[in-house]
Amino acid sequence: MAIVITGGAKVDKAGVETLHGALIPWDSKVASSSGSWVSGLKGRTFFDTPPARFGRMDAFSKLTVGCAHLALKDAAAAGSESFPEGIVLGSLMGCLMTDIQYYAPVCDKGPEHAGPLLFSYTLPNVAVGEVCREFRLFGPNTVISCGEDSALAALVVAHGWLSSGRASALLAGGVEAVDSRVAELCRGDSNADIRSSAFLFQLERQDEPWQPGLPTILGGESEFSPSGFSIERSVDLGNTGMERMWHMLNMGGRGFRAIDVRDKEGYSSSLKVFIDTEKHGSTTRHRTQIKSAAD
Amino acid sequence: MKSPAVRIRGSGAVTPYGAGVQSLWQGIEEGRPAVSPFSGFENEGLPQLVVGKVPDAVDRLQAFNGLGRDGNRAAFLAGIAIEEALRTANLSPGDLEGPGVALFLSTTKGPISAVERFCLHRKRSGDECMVTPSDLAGLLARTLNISGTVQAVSSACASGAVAIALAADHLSSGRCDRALVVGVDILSAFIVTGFLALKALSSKPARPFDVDRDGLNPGEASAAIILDVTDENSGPFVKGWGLSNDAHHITGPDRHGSGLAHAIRAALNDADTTPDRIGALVAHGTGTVFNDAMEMRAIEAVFSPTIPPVCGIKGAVGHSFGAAGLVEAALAVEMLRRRKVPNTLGHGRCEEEGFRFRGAPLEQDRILSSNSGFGGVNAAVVIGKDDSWPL
Repeated sequence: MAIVITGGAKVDKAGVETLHGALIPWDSKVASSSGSWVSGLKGRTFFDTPPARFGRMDAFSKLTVGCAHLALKDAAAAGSESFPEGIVLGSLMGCLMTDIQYYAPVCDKGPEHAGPLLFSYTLPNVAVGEVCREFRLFGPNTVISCGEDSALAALVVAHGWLSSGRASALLAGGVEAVDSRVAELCRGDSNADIRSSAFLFQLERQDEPWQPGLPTILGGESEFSPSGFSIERSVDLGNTGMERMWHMLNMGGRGFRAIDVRDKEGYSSSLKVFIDTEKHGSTTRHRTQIKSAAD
Repeated sequence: MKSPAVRIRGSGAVTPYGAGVQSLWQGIEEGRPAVSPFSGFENEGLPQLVVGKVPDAVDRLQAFNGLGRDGNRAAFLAGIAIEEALRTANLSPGDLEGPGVALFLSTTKGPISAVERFCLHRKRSGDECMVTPSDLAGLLARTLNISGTVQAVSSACASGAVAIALAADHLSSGRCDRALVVGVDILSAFIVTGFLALKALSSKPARPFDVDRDGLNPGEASAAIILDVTDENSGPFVKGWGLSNDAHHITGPDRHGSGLAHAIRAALNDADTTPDRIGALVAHGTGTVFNDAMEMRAIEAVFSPTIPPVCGIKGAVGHSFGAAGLVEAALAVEMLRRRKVPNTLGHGRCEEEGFRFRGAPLEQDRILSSNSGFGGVNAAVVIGKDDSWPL
């Protein structure tokens, strides 16, 4: 039995990339826009035919749903015949951006200006609900938050659920959607370097690897250091482990790898992976066509 | 899929009845709802509402190791519940220290006051470092010196049951020896304005599963349970769990109840038990038209023709969101101890046949507790005991 990664996608300020594809940078208009690129996501960035609901979602949900779609497409294009039953999402900041977007007008103008639709998105698991709804995932699902390694911890949870047979395939990873107001709230500096990103992987339980070379998650663990607290929160918010993991998967090679993240709050997680892939080459990779956000 | 049994060693709660699981039980037994009119959000332009607020007398208590002394209400309420859980578990605080102990926090908005202050003043308040649920979980872990897995769970109103599931998973897979599961949410203008905008609140005490139900009462509460794995036959135990998603709508439940039914069946299967061995259901029962209708559909689908007695407490204490599942788990333990199913306060008449919401003897040794939430999430946990408990 092995828990393998059959597909994946990442979305960050550099652009959009899938595990078996190449980076598609944002249109220069988006890349240079002031404020947060995550605020201007369009459905056509991710979908040939965007879901009708996409435009009404908050930024956190758009990022989650869009990245999920790309990860699923990537896995299918790479030959996976499985489809996830659920999703485990890690997020440190959750929907703080949406919380502020919802409540600031209420403070300014009164409770009659509370938007019911936006309020619905002030729970990070609603983004998970949008993924489940869009892609018909009826199985186990949750959002966990545990410092900067929340996404890594989500992969550990997903690994556990797959190993114990709770599901045969899951989406797992992390999403952070932040803007200058979140940076101001968390760091006291609205101009601080902020980092939104989304990483989602399709994980499958396989009795034996159906294809040599699939990255295999061996397991992981999470700990907490009660004495490790520093009041100065890093503004490189969340998904630290995901960036390292993405880089590792793209580097290829053969052998055991470990991704460890420890943050200033005291949280730490580690994930052990075995990879056995050829170095990045063109024959086994497909190019996923992603439209620019500005199209 | 079968999981090893995980023991519930101790439990604690703070509800609108006050501090202690016993005060919760006694209030419900006396038929005395703890929800009441509240005008505390007048400064925010909100009308008087019926809410479940923890009484002011609790504010005079001391929480574990001074938690909440800085005004962090969520930490304060959590600390009170943790104290009781330690006491009923016959453990000292030192028994929660170290890498073998995990902490799972269930909350929807956690330290929401930070967001409220920021939106009001448009700037960060001083050394604001309590912003996210992760921050609150970290604070609790530091205070208790827990150095195993620490996670905050965010699955809307099903967070409590999901947190229990994650903890049970950790224990049965050997990733920890003991787990503290804490649920807390505080009454806040942030949450109340939202539910008002959704037109989901009742102007009267909520009436779970009642034919005239018209909405929920927002509330606050905290609860804590301590779990471990043991060879002893002293219960009660978390026997199994199941999670699902409706994949239907982000706020409205699937009216066929198939998502919740899926979670319930998964929990029963995980607990290696059958519907006829369930002695009672602790339902989510928010008092809204659609949630309660969905739940009855799900219960019928799984348990017909003989539906066990159903108990819902949100007519008594309001809806405490992230704390609800943990409060209801603590209640389930009390039900097993007393072999009794309490009344569902606020319920008068049901439009469906076959349901029992009145107090009754508990005739089987398994209880199923379920919760559902925004995002279409459903969670169910089977809590049971063996004949030797209570001792």
